[in-house]
Amino acid sequence: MKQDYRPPKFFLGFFQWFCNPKLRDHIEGDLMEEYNDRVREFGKGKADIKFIFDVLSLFRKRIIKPIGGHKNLNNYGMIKNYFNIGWRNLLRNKGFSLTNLLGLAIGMTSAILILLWVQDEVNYDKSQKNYHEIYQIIAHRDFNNQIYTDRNMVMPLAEVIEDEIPQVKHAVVTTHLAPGNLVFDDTKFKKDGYTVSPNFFKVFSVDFLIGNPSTAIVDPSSIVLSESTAKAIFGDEDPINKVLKIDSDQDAKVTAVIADLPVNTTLKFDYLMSFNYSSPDVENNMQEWANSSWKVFVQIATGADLASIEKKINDIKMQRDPNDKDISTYFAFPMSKWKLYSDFEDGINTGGMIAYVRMFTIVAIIILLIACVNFMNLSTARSEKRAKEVGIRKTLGSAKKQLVFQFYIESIILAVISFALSILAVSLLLPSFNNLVGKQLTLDLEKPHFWLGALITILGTGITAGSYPALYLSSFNPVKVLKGTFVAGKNAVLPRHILIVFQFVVSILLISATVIVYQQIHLIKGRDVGYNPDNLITIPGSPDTQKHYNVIKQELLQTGMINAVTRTMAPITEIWWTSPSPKWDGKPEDMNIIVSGLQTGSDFTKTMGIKMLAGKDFSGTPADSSYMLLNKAAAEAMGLENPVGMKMTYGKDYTVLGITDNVVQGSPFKPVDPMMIYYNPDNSPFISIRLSNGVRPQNALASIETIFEKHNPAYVFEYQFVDKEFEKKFLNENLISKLSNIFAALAIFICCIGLAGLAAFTIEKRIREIGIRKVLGASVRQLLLLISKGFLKLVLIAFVIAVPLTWGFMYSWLQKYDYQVNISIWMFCIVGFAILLLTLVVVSINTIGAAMRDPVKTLRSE
Amino acid sequence: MKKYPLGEFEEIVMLTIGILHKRAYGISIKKEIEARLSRNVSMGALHTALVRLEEKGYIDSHDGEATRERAGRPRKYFQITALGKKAIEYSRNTRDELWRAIPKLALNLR
Repeated sequence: MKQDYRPPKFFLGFFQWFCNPKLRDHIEGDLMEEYNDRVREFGKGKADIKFIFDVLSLFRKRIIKPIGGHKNLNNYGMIKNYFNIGWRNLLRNKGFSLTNLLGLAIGMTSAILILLWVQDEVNYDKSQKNYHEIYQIIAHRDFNNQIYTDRNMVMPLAEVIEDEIPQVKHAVVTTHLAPGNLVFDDTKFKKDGYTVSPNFFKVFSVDFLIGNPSTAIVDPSSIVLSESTAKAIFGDEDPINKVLKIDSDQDAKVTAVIADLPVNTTLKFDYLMSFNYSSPDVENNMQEWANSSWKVFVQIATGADLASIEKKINDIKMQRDPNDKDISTYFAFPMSKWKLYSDFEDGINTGGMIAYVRMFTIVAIIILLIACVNFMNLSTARSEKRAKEVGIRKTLGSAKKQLVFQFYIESIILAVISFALSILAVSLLLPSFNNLVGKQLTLDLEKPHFWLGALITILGTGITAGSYPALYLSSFNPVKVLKGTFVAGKNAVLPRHILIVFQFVVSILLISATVIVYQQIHLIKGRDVGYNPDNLITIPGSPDTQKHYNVIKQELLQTGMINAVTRTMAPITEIWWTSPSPKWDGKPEDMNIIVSGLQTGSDFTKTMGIKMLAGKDFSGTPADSSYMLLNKAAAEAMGLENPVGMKMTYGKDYTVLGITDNVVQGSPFKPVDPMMIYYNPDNSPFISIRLSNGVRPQNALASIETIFEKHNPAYVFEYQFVDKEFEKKFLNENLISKLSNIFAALAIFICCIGLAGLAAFTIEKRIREIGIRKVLGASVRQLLLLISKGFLKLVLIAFVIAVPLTWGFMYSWLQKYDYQVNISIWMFCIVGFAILLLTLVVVSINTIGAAMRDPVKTLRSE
Repeated sequence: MKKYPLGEFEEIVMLTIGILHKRAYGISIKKEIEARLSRNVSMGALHTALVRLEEKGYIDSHDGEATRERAGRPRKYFQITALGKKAIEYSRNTRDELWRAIPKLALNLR
């Protein structure tokens, strides 16, 4: 038998791949015949080469298979048919399609909004070019086994780090200026700025619109403005080389304008200056290795060993300030964690915003899932209508795989339309949503990552929603279906019920959680703060107000609208100073207490509305400087029954003059810290003003403003209502509360849509039964109850499942608060009852029409 | 517009199919043309022409036997259709007419 020769495999394969399948067989035959002839005539080598030429000569228009497929080759026509049928089904069952569309669109809209928020949070600071190399130097400071995490560093640290650690490319020291006044042409602008070391722009990337990053802040009398600041001050004029006054005492020349930093940047500023290293103040600070109040940032070389850098930083600091050895541990905190993992407790990073980012991502997915469940339920409930189609398709040779594919396509069509709708909704809602969350989110329609996200959302939703119906519908037995012995939809009843229960469990969970969050915030807000924040105004002072304080106070009181005036070191809503407690006779050796400190002038308790529990307030004479007040928490922490009159040593000796009530200064969610209050008016620039009862704040403010304009002309007059400042402590909690309100409402709404659809469908199927029942004497009320009963049962089951779940989740959530609201069973009862009522209403509205219909009409056709 | 569009190579292929009568398939056509006209025919050119002719309706085809030599692939035999016959006749007639129209003197060249 003669040997078979084989032509080059690759080229044969290539031919088989490109050739039009209609021509493939006989041309391949020709090729082989020719090849075998040539092998006999010329030998294999030459035949192979000629074969290759033949194949290549065939690679031309009429022989290559048409692009876009050929009917015999793929399912193009079939897929087209799927789209057709899917589209027709959508149009034919308008109610069903609308229900699904609405649910999915609402679900997607909420998911997109939430994910935009999440994306913004996650992308914080990512616009920085050196994102992965920038670290902030932070210290854990151990004060007698209580660890505080402190971002304040000593000033010379940055310079020494940069000089002595080769892996550190740059180290920047900055200080945040209290919002200052930029004065130009006698117009004052209140702006937020930083003073930084001149290498700032080497580390932090900033777009220079005008000016040069390497020279902009070399001269300490120069200032760099952000675009919006420059525009606000100079309008369309060229700002370069214009001279501004800063707080009336310092001149600064504009040398550069930078583009405004993205909103989601941690280190934001309106203007930037550099330290004046030749000034005596800064020279002193550069020698100071103990007093920390500067922020230090480093940029490390890529791939440098962080642990060794941290060790060197610790060594540097301890070498120069040995006292720090037992207290502080310095470490580098990466930029990627600044925003989302900003919280430290006892020296351990406890996360921060990341908890909310995770929580809301889960909520987004859950809402979308609820919407998907609607689709699943309605699809399987209506499967009877599609059963015949499935039967016919199967008889005609459709494989199960193809049918699954068909139903997937239908759900994806729906997902695409919903997505388009939700994009529309998102673009309409975005301004108000931005308002709510205080961000500037945008839909980046032109960015590829948006479309990637869109694709994932659409496919994810389409496939999730379509999976169960597709598998269920495609599993029908064609013989049974076409014979009519098969009642479609029956096998799907249990899964459908499970899905409904799932939806309601989630809804009840969300709603109860919302209520508990609200109650918790309400509880904290209602807490006794120890002073009266209403009708209390705080005005940040200046050297001028300090100089003229007595006159200002006099004039304020003379307006007749003001009850009392005092001044403090810090606003009453903030703690600016904590330290180990003073010493007293009989203090146990092992007792370590951290106290916060506040310095005040006279009339402190009177103005703030703080109750004196024992002793008395400062009298306002210079002798007061040897007295001190303690708060109740301090007395308790020190274990002193009656400390009034006792001696305290804190630098020098003080006598305890009185005990004040506990004043909530820091987080209202935490117990009040022990506090000591000294009399030191010279270091107390914040002026607090108590308005008389019944005075309209606007009127009082007008008079106050005139007085301040007179005595403090260099500064923009500004004031804060203490109650509003206090409210700001609830910023996160309020936001979470609002968002969870909205999304819980949406979740329950989507559930109701699904329920309505399902109820309408159920009644449509049972219309004859209802007709017969009516004929036999059933009332409309009985009929409604009959239909609702099934749904109510499911809601009850959901309730039973949801209560322990919610309790568990919320119990663990509440653990982070020292003051916790009790999770009451009544709250669950009310929520459960409300949901039950809602179910009843939704089902009734959708079935009442059918229940009231004349049985003659429904039964006529029998 | 041409009444019966037919390219030069296509015409040769058709005529060859006629010559081979019932034995015309890819390789036999190729070999016949190569032998008679002593020119090389590439596989690609031939099959393109066959596809075009079939599209135009001048030839039709049926599957024939498969041999071991052809790795089990069937031969595809071509034959001229009635329309195809008209097309080559038309082509021949026009050519004849043109021939006839040439004055004898014009070809009297040395």
